Amino acid sequence: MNTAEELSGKARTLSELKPLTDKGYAQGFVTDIEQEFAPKGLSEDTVRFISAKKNEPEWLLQWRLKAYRHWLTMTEPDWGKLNHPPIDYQDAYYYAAPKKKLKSLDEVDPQLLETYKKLGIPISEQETLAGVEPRIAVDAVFDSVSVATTFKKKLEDIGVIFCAISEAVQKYPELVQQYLGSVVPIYDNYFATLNCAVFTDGSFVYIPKGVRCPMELSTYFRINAENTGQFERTLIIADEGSHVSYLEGCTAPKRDENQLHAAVVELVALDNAQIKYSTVQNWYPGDENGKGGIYNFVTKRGACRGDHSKISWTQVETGSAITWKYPSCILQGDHSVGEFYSVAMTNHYQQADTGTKMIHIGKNTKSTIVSKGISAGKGQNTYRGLVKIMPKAEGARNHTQCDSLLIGDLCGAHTIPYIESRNRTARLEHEATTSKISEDQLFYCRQRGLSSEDAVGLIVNGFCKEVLNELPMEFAVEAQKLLSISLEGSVG
Amino acid sequence: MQSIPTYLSQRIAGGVLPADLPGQQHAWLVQKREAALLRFLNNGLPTAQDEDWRYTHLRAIEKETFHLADQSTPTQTIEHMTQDFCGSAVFVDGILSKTLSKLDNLPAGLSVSCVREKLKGQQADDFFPAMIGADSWHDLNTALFDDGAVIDVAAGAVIEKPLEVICLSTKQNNATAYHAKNSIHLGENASLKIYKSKISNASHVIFSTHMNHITLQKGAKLQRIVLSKHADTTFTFVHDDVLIHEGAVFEKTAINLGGKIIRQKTTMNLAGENAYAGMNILTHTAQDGTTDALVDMRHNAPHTQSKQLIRSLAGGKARAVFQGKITVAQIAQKTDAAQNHQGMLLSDTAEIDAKPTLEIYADDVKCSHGNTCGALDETALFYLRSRGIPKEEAERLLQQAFIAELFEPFEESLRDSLMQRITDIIEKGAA
Repeated sequence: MNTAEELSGKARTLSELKPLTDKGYAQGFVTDIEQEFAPKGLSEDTVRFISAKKNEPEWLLQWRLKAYRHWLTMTEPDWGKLNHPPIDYQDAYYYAAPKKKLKSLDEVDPQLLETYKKLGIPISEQETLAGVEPRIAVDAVFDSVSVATTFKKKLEDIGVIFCAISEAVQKYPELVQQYLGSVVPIYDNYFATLNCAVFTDGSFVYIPKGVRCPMELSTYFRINAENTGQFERTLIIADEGSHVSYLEGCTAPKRDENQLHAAVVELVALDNAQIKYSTVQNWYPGDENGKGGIYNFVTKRGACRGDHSKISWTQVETGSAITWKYPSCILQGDHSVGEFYSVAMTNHYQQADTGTKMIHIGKNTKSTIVSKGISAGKGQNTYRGLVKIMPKAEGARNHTQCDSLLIGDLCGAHTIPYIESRNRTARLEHEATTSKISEDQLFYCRQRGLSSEDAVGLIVNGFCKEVLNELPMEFAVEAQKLLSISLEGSVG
Repeated sequence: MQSIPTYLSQRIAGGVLPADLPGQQHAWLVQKREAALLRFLNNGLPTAQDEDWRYTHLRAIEKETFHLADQSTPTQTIEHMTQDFCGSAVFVDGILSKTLSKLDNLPAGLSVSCVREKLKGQQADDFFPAMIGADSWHDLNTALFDDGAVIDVAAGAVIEKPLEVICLSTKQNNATAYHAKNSIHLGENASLKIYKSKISNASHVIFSTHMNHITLQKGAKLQRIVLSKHADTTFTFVHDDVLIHEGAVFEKTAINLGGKIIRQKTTMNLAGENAYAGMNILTHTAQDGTTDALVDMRHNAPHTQSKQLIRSLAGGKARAVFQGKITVAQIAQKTDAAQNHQGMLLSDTAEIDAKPTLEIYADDVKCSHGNTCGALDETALFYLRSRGIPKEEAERLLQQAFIAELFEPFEESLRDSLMQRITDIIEKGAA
């Protein structure tokens, strides 16, 4: 086939792909609900306001202030392959909460219930069918507060704590004080330090010794109010021999402005404990001209403190105008295992700079990294990862695989892997490929009666399969749908 | 800011260029040198905060006192990479030695001269184009270069036999410093092989910068082999900047053995369709030095191809670094780029750092990179030993097999002699 034919064939396929684009961002609605805000802007007063609203103990306020004062001396990191206008930290609300206080789940504002219903999130326990074991417990975070946590009672019976972090501060202060900031230190980085100062809510999970959490725990984050940033903080502790699977989802209304989301997630796994953390990130990505969208600057880190512990991160990143996120594992315990499975998709003007860090400290530690980047439209997608082997990590093992798929010729796919090895018995492997969807693949699918959009969807899903397989079933289905929706308008 | 060696602070004291530099009569050159010196003084030497210098720390350089090279007679014997060469250019402490070089009977179309020669007289053109990724070392070199090779191949000239370039260092008690600027230009459809060896004795303390400007016109072909045996007290900063036009083929094999701080940077601009760049690098460092190979491959035209093969071995307390980057511009459709780095740690205190980066802005491309790091394969070792091969011998064989891939494209005699020399140097520390 000569180039001209090839090009016209390509143009044809691209134009046929267009109809794929009309599904839109279904979560882009706004809920009209009475809310109260902190005064606009960021100052020590804002920090004190948030702390007072949450009725926090003095040590936490001091911790926040310490973070805030240090944050003032820091500069925003600029090493990511990201372009955005400077963020005005004073032009945002750092606290927004629905006005009505609730005493029980039954009192949840019907409008909120409606919102979550529209999003397909079950925040009412009654919704589960009689006689069927519930599979998911949900903590719903709306702007700056947790509005509902389901199946709390049922979980408490077996000793599992699953509640809003603000509630944990009141009820289990010693646990929070012991672990908060122990994985992501207070001065870790610009956005994490900012989060320490102004974090509002998020989930707290504690799984006691030897308990296998009987249902998936899930937090659903929703940014609703205008001009607000969301700064949530999640802390999960898996005590010896315990096991937990945690899911996280997020959406926001369509707005022309860029909203900041700077979260911190800390995981601690003790001896023989396992934590599986799955994310489907679907923040509003901005429109096809790159207007609006969430700036997602997130610090996620897990510490495998105990021997034979395991932390597994799975993420599907389809939303956000900017994603800056590196879920990492510190493999301290001997024989501990870290995993990172990621699909990142950028379309239109979206930019993603995401990856992981695997720090091998203990003996025979093992890590696996599988990253799939899909760039379409004018999207820029970067995998940035570090595998570091410390001198005592005898027999450490890492395998990294990064694949990029390019759709259209205006996008970019970048891979920046760092390998640092200081132990000769350690073995590290990294491989990366970059490709596009070939005409042959498309032709084959269409010949079998698939429409162009189904064919692209099928190929993209196949490309991501290794990662999607890692997701809990309910999420995998959602993620597959999301991927095809996010591809919309990527061609032509 | 990283402080500069004392020799340098004396040589450029007060921001004034030394009077002994060649080409003082050319206003353009003085201007160029002064501007470069100003930039160098403003920017200083790179620090660990610079992304490209994350792994190579320059502190060790502060401790050494260097002196200007005195170009006395070298005590080393010249070892040839091949006996069958068309000419031989010998540089002593960075200055071309007329007595040691053999440049009288060069084949037609090949001209070999030196920078000092070119700058003699009242008329001289600027024969150094701007470099991609020029850094502080480039500025320092531009300000202070004393000599270098100027190699030119006329259009259509195909030089069969290789040209030999040998860099020697004089044996003296004082540490020497020199700055060389080389230029290689191949006209359309010209072809040349350059075998370069840079050998220093164990007692040599050397600080040198080498800026190599290389241009390949349409359809030209250059094969370049650089074998460097550095003393454990050598600080060398090399930058090859290669411009590769349509259909031209550039192949480089760089062998870096030993050294205190060795930085070898190669920037390649594949500027025309069907241009090809091949890059093979062997790093072996086993004392307490750092060897840092940086490859910046830029595909700026469609149908261009590049291939990189890098093997790093680090023993003792040494550190081997590889930083590779492939950039594919939006216009460079149908690019085929491959990069493969393998590291081998030989001791418990050595370190290998690798950063193979891909930056891709075109969709119809084939790009891949692989990167591994580990020790000798225990299973393979066991297999050999179970066949009655002693442990040391088995280790040696496996190490040889690890690096042999780099030399596979070469003809047998060259491959064997290179492997033999490398093995000798690694095992006996012989030059």
